[in-house]
Amino acid sequence: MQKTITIELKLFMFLKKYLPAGATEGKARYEIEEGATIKDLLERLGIPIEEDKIIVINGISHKQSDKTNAIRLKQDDVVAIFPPIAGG
Amino acid sequence: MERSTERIIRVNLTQKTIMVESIDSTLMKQFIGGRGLGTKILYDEVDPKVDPLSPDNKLIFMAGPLTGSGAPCGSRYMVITKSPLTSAIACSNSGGHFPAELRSAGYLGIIVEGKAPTPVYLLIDDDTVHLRDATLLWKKTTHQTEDALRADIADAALARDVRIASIGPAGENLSRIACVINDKHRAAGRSGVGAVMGSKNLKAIAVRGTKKIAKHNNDTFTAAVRAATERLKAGPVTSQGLPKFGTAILVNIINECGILPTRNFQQSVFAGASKISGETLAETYLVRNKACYACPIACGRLTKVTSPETFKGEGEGPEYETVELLGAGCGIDDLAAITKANYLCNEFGLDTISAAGTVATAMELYEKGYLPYKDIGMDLRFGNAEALLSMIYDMAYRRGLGAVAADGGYVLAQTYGHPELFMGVKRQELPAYDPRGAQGMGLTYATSNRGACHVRGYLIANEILGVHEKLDPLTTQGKASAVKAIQELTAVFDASGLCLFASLAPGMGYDVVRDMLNGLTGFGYTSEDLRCCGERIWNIERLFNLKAGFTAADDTLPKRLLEEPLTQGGPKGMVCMLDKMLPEYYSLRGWDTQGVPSKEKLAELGLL
Repeated sequence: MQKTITIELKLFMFLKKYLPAGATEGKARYEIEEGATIKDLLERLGIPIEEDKIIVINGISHKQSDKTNAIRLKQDDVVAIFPPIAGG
Repeated sequence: MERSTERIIRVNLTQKTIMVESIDSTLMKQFIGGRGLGTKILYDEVDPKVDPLSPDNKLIFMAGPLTGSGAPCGSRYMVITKSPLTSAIACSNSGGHFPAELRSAGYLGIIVEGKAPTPVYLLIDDDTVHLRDATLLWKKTTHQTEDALRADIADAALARDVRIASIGPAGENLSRIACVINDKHRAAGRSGVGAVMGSKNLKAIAVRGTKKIAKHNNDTFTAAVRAATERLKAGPVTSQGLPKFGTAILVNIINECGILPTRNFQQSVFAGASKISGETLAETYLVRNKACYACPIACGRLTKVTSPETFKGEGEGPEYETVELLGAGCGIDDLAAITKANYLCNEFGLDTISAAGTVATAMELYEKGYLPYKDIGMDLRFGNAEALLSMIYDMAYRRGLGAVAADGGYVLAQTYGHPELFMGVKRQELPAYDPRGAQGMGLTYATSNRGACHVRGYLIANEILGVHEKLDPLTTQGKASAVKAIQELTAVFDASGLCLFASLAPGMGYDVVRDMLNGLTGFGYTSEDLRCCGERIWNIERLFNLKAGFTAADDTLPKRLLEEPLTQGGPKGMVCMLDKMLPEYYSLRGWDTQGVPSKEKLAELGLL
């Protein structure tokens, strides 16, 4: 049996609809196979890969890109995903 | 329709004279309008060492050529003067409908000189311009002023149609953090421009315009406007995020990134962030969104709080900077209280950013035991929403602690012997991003010509939000050139009369602005010409400040941000490494090691 890790997943705004069952207040503990990447995570959740988004991993923001997609997840990572936003 | 030279109104309140002048078109081409032209006029006509609240200072209201033209997001004007808060150049931007109305009346701007012996307001009805007695408007809030001013006009149609900019009690009481409010809810917020208006006994300006703005070439202008509009409608930020959630949408992401200023920048993650976010605002107090003139984005929030009784009210906002600084900045997670505080600031005519920064300074002084209870008569701990509202009243009316706090956080912290607790640059309070986790934003703050400011080079767009090119927020590499570039682009948007938010759509850069400006003015700019205009504007502002007495030592940040590492979030352990960016920035700007523009640079920009 493949080993799994658990991450903390947070989805915001228009992306909340992709939250797994059991999520509360936009957050969920989410189990995924060890060695999974951001791209794997997006695919599991059904979030369109190609659409622009901001992915904040452990408090550091990354723009949607092949490089970001290739980042491997680790146990207890906090992954927050936002649609494109700006303002100020 | 034949396009003629742009005109401005010059009002001397001491002599009670009103003149209409044409603007030299060479000057227009070099400085574009708005922030550029207004600064050039201030630089030429006002001694940078002038006492900001003396009759010798001038108050310049300046729209851009694209303001009111039908260009998307062409709604803005600038209020330019020497700042009583910073003693540097003040240049505060606002939208709404007042600026476009001024353009429709046939004017690009207004220069106000001198001081009226008694309160007056300026009434502009196309070609008819006169000063009127404002004794009955004095002491009124900005909202009451608008209503009373309309009631003062006999012609019912004119009374209905005028657009109004005014000051509230804060401006009258010469609070150095007073703003000018137009259309009841839009603020030319920063640097105390409202106090300068108050010092001149000018309570309000009301304007009606019925003219069409002439275009050099209607066809090319219309095509350029269509192209710009399409980009704004295609951009996800400008077509989805901002219209639906407004600017407060940033609260959650800035918190996730560990740079949400909390309790006067003592922390950078706020447990109550989601309670004060744009999503929560949309679910609770939002009535509908609202647009400025010719804006397809409509980020404005029309809101209403119905309970509890203490926080009841309605108005616009809060915007991101406001909700963050009045909220997390003061340790408050009650959105009703924050929204009420925002309404009060708008009605009293106080800049929300500086008001919040001043209250946060007071709260830290109090918690550390430097501000005795007897001086304030209330428990000023972080998180006390009633204390926040009370201080806003006090600052607007200069009563109690407000007698000092009305002059901003720097004067307050200095008065109580702890200037290091003031979180600002050039005596102006910081906006709502901790630069220890967004290094380039630290350089923006330190070098902004009007003191701490987020809209003089919004590098958060690159470092955090990934708009345009994404930059690593934690490194200093490449930040000097990125800051220089965004400072210049911003100056061009501000001079043109465009809202900076238009630049948040993909492809909305120099080329698009160039095509609209050329269609309107016939100046035949290239994109590089426009970038040069941006650089020229940046440098003339710098020259004003140098002549006012500023030096490289003022291009700095609070010690806390330079020396105390962040203790939370992704950027934990970071300070702002300003010293690694500033020398490179000066060099890229063609300035010497003391931040003084070289003769060659000034010659290149036509500023010698």
